[in-house]
Amino acid sequence: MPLFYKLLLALLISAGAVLTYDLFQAQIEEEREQPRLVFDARAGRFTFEKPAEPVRIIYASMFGPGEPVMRVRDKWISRFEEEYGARLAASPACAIPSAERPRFVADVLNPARQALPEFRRRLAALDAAGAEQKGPLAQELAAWLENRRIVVSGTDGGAPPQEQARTLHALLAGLETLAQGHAPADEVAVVPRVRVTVERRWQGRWVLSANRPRFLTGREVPDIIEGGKTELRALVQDDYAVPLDVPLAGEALSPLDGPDTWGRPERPWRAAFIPSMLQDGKYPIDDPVRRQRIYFAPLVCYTYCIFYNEVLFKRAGIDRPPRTWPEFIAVCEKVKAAGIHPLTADMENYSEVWMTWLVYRALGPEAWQGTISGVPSGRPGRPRVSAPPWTDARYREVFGQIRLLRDRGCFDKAFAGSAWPAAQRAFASGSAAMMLNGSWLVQELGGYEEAASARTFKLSCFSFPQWPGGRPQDQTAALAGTGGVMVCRQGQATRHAIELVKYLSARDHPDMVHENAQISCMKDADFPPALAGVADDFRNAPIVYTGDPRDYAPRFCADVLLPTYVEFFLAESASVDALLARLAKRSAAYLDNGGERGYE
Amino acid sequence: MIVSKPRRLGGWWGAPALFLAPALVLFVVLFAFPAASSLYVSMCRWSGFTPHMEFVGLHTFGRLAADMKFWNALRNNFWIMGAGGVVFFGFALVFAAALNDRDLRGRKFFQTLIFFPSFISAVGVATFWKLLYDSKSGLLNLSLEGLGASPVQWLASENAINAAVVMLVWAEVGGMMILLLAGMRRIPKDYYEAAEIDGASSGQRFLYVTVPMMREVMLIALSLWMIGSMKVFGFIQGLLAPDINDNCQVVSTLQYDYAFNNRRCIFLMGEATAMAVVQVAIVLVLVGIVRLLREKKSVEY
Repeated sequence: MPLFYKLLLALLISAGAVLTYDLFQAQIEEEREQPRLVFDARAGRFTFEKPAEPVRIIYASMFGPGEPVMRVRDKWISRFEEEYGARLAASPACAIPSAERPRFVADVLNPARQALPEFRRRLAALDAAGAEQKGPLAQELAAWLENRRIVVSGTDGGAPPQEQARTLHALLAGLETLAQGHAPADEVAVVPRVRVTVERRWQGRWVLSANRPRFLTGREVPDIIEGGKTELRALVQDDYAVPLDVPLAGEALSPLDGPDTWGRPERPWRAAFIPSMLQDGKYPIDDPVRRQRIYFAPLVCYTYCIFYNEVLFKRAGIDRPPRTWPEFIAVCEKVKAAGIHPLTADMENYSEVWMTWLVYRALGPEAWQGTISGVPSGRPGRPRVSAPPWTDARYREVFGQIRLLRDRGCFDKAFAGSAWPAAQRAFASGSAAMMLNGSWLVQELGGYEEAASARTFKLSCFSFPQWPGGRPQDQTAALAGTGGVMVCRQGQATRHAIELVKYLSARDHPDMVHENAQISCMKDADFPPALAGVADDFRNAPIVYTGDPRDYAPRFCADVLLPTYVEFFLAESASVDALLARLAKRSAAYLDNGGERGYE
Repeated sequence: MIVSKPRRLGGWWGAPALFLAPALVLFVVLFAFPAASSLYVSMCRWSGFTPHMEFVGLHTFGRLAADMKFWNALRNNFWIMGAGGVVFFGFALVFAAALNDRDLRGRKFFQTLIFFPSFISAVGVATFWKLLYDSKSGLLNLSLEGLGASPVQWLASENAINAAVVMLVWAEVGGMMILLLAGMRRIPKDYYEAAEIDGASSGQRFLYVTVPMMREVMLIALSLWMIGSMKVFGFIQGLLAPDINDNCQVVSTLQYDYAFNNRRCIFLMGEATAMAVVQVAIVLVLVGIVRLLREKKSVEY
């Protein structure tokens, strides 16, 4: 046979095998979904368990396989599948409605009638068997019945063999009565059997792009996307997110105003969240309609603080962490004098946090928004201007202090060319005393901390130092970013998806807090013990700043602010005045061009 | 006797059309249509998430022209092509010439050694070099420190592209060397013997025999390098991602950043596709120039 035909034959055989396997699998699936007759051994009653439409929720997450957050979420999603399935099935049983009777007769009663003679024969064999054979035979018979979709509940394989045999006799008697039509079918209750499955897609930071084809085709769109505010912005922009404070079609209350089903049902769900965190779920870009709505259920949040190695602080003679910026600079000097690098970092990673925190402490977030997004100028042709301007003395002071950190050599020498996670390794190995990072560092350092000796590394943290001369409310404020979930408009199981979000908000925070050192957005949650250094400041903060220029001016940040700042931060030497002049010039061009709308 | 002409299937065009159809369908579906679509997408404002695209004509190209990131990226591509190309060809040619000596001991071993990096995937190579270059714990800086020298910020924005060029040369020089070596081995030995008899030194033999006879192969190699350096992606992404400094982007990584950036979630499919169109145009022009050079009469002895 020519080679071509051989290859063709091989191809056909392979295709046939795949098709057969597929059909076979479908058959198994079909089998699982058949209705069944359940005999309750305790009550001596039958129920007709009818498979309801399965519930399938697609959950796409920005966490990847194996990440600590993923492990906790996965565990609680599995529990939700069981509990929600049971809750849906627990809807009141009712007599078989007339429309269901033909199906009951065809699918359940007729096969049961056919099985009766064999059932009698096997039961007689069981009766005749000796005591030691009775148990295995009873179990074999129960399995045989189950294959015929007749299930015994209210007893288990561990029951004494005599009791199992008695139950089977009761089942046979009941079945004979039912099969002969002596018992009215109304006595058989119909119970929906609900299988809830949550398809998890642990797609990491790729979550939006990975689901892009699904959004485009409208097929298999995730019901829930787990992410941060950047993902929220993208989804709301394209009108893909469901607002959680607007009632769904046919419902009187919005999901947030509905009961906190899985937590404390007597209160509305919105009362379960820390209010400032929930407000962070609003669409951040200026938009007359969308900006008023909450699209995002925040589950965890993170804050930026300064982590330090207690061992190195002690070695440098520092007995308590600094509270103010001058104290912080003094600490850096003291650490340096002890021959230790005060700070470590990986290139520009988190460098913008110095800027954000210092601007918030020195000027407040409203001032910064005024500088970036501008205020009405009242002049024709120039609708908005930066106020305060970039040339404001306070900006000069803030950026001057950042430059000071660089010029005084507070960062380790190699930071400008290192790549993540080199800084973490350096910090944990005791070659630098401090590191500015998000609160997730605790989780990321877990492995290093275990490996490091307690004599060289003990992790602790303190709140970002206060700025003397700044507004009092900005000195006690906390800075937080949130992570949570959005429900997608194109999903096929919106209501069930909202139940899942409610479930996670009520159940998984103890694990998130204690296992993963995550700060929860829920009122009832504890504060992670690993972040004890900032616990009081965070919990007692009268204001929690959740906004960020990246939220309200994403393009300005991406194209102007961050590149300009990073260049300034990484340069061996740079002038603050030149930086501010450059920012002022580019900011004016941005505002003259209509701000974010200018990019459209 | 009248002999009728054999009937053609479906007229004069039927049979050719029948045989060409499968290939044509594949060409249209898999190449022509996507390419035409790209041209259209490049003129649209589109996030890539909704089926709705807003046609804005050449606006996206205008944005690109005003985008300093794009010009920086393009400059980096040309730097890799030019400066990288000189180093790359230099090494490839030297290695090929050295290994062309059949009397060289361990010739096969060195050939394999130099070619070895070509077996490794771009991401593997980039990860390896990232570890080498790391300024805190990389082997290079540890060695420098061991010698008493100060560490170098290899991956800092001002050095990163040059560091990437070194990595690219290391990874790709083997493949180019094999190509050039194959070209060299095609040159008849007689030419070298004749030149030797005429008193030509080994350098002269290389300059006046090898190089001119290799013109065709070298122009093909040049085309390949130009195309490769214009669309280089995996090496740069692997070495510098996730947050590639704007000064270190190349067109492909910037394009990827605009189309799929998942950290900033700003999706600019129109601009990214416009970049691809410009990239293809540049490659076409460059390859066209090389083609013109190839069409000039080749050297014959």
